[in-house]
Amino acid sequence: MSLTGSVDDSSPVTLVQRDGVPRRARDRVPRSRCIALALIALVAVVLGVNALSEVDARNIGEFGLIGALPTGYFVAVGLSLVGFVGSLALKRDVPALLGLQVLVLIVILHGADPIVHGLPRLEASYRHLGIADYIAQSGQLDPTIDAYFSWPGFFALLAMFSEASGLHDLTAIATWAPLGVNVLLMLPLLALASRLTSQWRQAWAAIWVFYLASWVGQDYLSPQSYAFILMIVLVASLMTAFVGWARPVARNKFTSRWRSWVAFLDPTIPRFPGGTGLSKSAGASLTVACAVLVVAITASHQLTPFAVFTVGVALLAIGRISIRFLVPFAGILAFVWLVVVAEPYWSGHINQLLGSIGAVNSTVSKAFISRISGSEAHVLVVAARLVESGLIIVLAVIGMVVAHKRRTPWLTATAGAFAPISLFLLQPYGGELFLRLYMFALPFAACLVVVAFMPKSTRQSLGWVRATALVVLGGLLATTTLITRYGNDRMENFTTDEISVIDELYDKAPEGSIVIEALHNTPWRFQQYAAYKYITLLPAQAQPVASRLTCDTVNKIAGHAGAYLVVTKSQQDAADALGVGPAGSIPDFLSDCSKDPKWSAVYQNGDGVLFHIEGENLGK
Amino acid sequence: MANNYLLARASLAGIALAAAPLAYSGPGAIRAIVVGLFLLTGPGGAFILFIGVERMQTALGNRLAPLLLSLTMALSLAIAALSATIMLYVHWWNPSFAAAALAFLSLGLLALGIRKPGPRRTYSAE
Repeated sequence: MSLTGSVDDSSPVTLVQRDGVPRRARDRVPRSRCIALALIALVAVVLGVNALSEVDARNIGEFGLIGALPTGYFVAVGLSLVGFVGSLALKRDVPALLGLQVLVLIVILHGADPIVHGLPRLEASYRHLGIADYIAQSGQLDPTIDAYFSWPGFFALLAMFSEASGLHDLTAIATWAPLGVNVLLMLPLLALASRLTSQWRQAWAAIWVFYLASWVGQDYLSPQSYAFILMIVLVASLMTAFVGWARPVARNKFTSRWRSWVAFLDPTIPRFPGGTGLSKSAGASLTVACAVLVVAITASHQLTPFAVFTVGVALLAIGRISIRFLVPFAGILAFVWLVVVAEPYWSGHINQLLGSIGAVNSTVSKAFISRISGSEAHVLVVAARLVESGLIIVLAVIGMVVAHKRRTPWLTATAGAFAPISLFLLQPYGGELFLRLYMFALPFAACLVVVAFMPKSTRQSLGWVRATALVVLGGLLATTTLITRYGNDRMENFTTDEISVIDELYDKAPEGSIVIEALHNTPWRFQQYAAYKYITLLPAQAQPVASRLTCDTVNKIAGHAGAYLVVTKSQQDAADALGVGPAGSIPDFLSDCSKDPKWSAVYQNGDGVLFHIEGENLGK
Repeated sequence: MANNYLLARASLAGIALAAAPLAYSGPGAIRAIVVGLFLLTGPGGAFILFIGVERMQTALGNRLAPLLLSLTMALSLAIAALSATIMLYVHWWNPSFAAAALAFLSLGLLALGIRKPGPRRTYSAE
């Protein structure tokens, strides 16, 4: 069984092979060439992993991981790129070889965090572990704690796995999640790309570009990565099992003209009402399967159901999916969940939710302008992200034009890539909406990006010029992604010493204590999620003055009962990179406050310090 | 091709059979691997095989392996997540029981799938 399905692949030449008759001699791929390409992949992965394991995390500078990587790593990336393009240049698809090449790229490019640091990336990973732990221990949801408990599906799954498997510490799962999530995404991406493209080369190249350009780093242990995988599978399933227009479009003039217009733009879209030949029972079973995916997505993440809805509406509008019930179901369910199940969340954030509807200027400002601040290195990283995203958009637009001229599929990928942009009308999503939109759009956009690099048909060879251009594109994207994805490495990753500080906190602070972080970038809450009163002095956002960072503020928070304050290296790195307060504000704050008689450092190591602040009564 | 599906059924049945008792107790690493593998593939795989992928292959085109494998994984994760979520909302938290129940449900679907009639020939090609 082969691993792609596309228009050219259903040509008589391929069908002959399926029926058991050997391919024509000219389509045979020499075994020696396959072995050579597989060896290139193996050398690349050994070199790459070895190079990453040699990285000393202490040498990671303000531009992130790229400055600490040894030469061997770049050789490994180069070999991986050449190996993939070499496999793509073969006369026919060898799925095992192409899959191996993509897997090697995933390990080298997206496995850096676990290999270099050996700990979960991002403070959110630790919080997510804490929520799963809370659910596993208590078997309860408390939506008053935070929004996560209003969309508990993913955390319930983690908790269920933790309890049923006896694996109560999921730190290793969180550490290796970036690699695991990307590996799990590979087949869904291939299934989707196979439905969006006309050649096996284009489908595989699209997946390759996806991994090369995926800088958003939302692949940690999170509800969004889980929901994203389900969303890709859902869209691929709908486009496979429910093909064509949902209604007879010749009923009135408008729909008839619309169909003609769509057919003019993209002649590959089916002209007539759908029907795959599935029996009623098989169709009903697949509908149930898709509905289960929709419900699981809705129960797990706030934003993804709306992305599913917008993409579904776009695909319905261009006659690419024929199922009528599922798209409105997804929209209504997302809305009902928000209004009914997540009531404890929205009732406390009603102004935040409704106030931003239609406020596009504010959303754009939070997504772009407010993020271009901080240290010079951080501004460069943000700028590189914008440039890389811009490059993908430009190449996708070129791909649209080329595909239209060649009369190959492009409109479906375009609809999928651009539909989620309408979410900009809703709300800024904490300033992260641009990241999420890029993530939702990339699987579709990648199919367009590679069009200009593909021959007109599968039967034509890739050729030296296109192959060289692909290697150059791959090199450019890989290098940029090393900056855009790993540029914030110093503040996104943590050290074992920092974790030791947090372990000491949980060891020393009695349950119910007030625990404070100087800046919102602490690897805590992975246990005792609701057993303490967690307080943050400064958000991880640019601000010229750090007004809350004074001894008096902390003393007031400590009040009569006392409190514990955690300050870590990553907090200081984040403050420096993001421009939170004047330079050196955290060391100055510590220097001043440590002289206060109520303050005592109860634990300290090279990467962090834990203070106990006595309550007023005890201090007198 | 038929052998592939037989092998898939046998593998899934083996994982489900092992996962049911291991959801309650067992040696650490093996328990985690088997239960994890089951939650990642079991319920979805059983459903896909129950509805008859052989017939879907005929109707939807022959190159469906990536989609079927993806659907197996996504459905398994979705069913497990929804089972856990329902337990939380009905205030009856028993993950080991749920995992074992899903294992038996998967075994049931796999058995029913075998008893269903073979591929029909009335489906039109894509």
